[in-house]
Amino acid sequence: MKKIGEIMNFKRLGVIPLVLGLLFIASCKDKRSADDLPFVGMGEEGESIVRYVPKGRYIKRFSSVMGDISEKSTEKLDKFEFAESWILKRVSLGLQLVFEVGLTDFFKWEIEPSFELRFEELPKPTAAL
Amino acid sequence: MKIKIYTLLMSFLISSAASAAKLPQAWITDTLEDPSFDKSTEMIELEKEYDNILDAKSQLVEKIATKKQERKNRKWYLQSIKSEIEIESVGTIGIGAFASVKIATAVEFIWNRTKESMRKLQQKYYGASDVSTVDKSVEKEINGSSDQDTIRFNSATSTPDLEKEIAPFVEASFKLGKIKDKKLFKTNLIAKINDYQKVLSDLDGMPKYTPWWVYKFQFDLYFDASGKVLPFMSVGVGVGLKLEWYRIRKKNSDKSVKEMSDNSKFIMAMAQDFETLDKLTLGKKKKAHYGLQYLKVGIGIGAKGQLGVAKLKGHLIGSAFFRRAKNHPNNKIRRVKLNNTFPIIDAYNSENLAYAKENSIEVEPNVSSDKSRIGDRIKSGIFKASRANFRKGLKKAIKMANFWSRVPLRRQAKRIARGKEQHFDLKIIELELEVYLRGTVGVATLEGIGVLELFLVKQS
Repeated sequence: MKKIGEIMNFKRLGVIPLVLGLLFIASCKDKRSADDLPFVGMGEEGESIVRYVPKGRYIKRFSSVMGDISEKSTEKLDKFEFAESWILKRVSLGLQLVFEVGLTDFFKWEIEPSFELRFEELPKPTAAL
Repeated sequence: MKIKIYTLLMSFLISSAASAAKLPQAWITDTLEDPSFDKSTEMIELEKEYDNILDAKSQLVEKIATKKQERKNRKWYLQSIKSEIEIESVGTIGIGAFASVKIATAVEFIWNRTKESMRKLQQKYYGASDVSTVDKSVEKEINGSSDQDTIRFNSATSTPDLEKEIAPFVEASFKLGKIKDKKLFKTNLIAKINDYQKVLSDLDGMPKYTPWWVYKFQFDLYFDASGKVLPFMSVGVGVGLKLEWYRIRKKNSDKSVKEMSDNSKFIMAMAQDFETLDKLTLGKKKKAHYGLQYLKVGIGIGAKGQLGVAKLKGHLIGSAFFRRAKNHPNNKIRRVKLNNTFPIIDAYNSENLAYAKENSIEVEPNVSSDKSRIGDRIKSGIFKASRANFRKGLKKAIKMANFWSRVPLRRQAKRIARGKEQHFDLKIIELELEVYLRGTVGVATLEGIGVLELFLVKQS
């Protein structure tokens, strides 16, 4: 049986664009403008962390990254076939990868955007069945 | 040194926390206070913040759907997207982005592809005018992952039937190299399933007095290559699978309270208390709204086999799913008299014991002579939480649920009014709540653990 990981390397698919997308969050602002989006977190001592990202930048960057991941994933899934009699019915791709940005030797900043993309086979029209 | 640098950096980062919108303190703390903040400035600011975040997420989701697709043929498509909002410890809402410690999710959203968008995809790729619709099960969306790693059983499932049920999973795990000893893995897995069957079997006979009823339990199990099976992740035991036990609702179950086991009484009491949430389930039938369709409670099994709400992560081994029977009246006349408390499994430490003393909560250590039980790994106790406090907390949850669902409905109405095309529809809002040891309820913040989940499903 073929292993799904051998055919679709989702990590490779998502890591580079996501790192690029996420690094911009690492440089986000600590002062807010009108419709900036709040990013929240918690430090090691349990203290609040709130930072802001311009809404337009967030939508543009993440829709581009996730659109690419979605397209590449569906393209690979279209070509995917199990050996034997196994059928792939649904794929959930969790983009809950945690990145550690090493700010100093002592401090790492973990970044965790949480999205899950779920793919299925496009159902055939009734007439074509 | 590490702390100094960390504090320096954090003080720089935290500088503007004051300008962010916050939830009412009563929503995120262990209090019985009713905030009634609906018209306050804080609430207006909060609603504006939530609307802004939701708008960004909706725009993002729509942009993903409208990305130019160059392929001429297609078999697979993006069916749904799940995203979330976090609430940090002082109540600020936002997108969860960074944490030095593990964070919890407060509200989850599931956007489903709309029928119209699906029809267009079918027309584009299959060139058909006669298109089929897809009957999407809400439960499938809630569970998320594929069915292939789930083993289903009930109290009547015999060992030979169990062997048949687990055979494809054992075979696949072996072929994928996840296990080396098929026979041992099979034996251990069946033994673990039998343990659960033993604990849960008497729930089948619970009387049908309440509209809410528990219909399944879901457990996570972990195994390693040697075939060891454990209800929690341990060193070297990291591959997971799901077990689902389905309750057989017996037709003639009319047991008296005296005949019911402690576990049945606990589940029955929860079901009765969930009637407090009926406002979220009933009514509003003509208008589009988010109705409460399912409830999920984090469950642990005590050292003596007793079920309880599990707050301690090492003891949270599964979830009980409740749903409300359709057209079942809220029949308070038949309500049976049960204990005024329900068990919560949490750490048996000085902090919790002091809290228990202060709030007059009865507590007993969770001890077993069976060394394989998790109760011996982490010191835990069974705390008897007040059901009256729990019901008050659920009333608070109604306000929270109304808040989280009001804004998306308004946003969608605006979008429709503007004639904008919609590829994804916000179908499910999942609200994660924390249950405190005295039975009170609050939104799960970054520090907390969500043990009660409300699934609000869009009804149009």
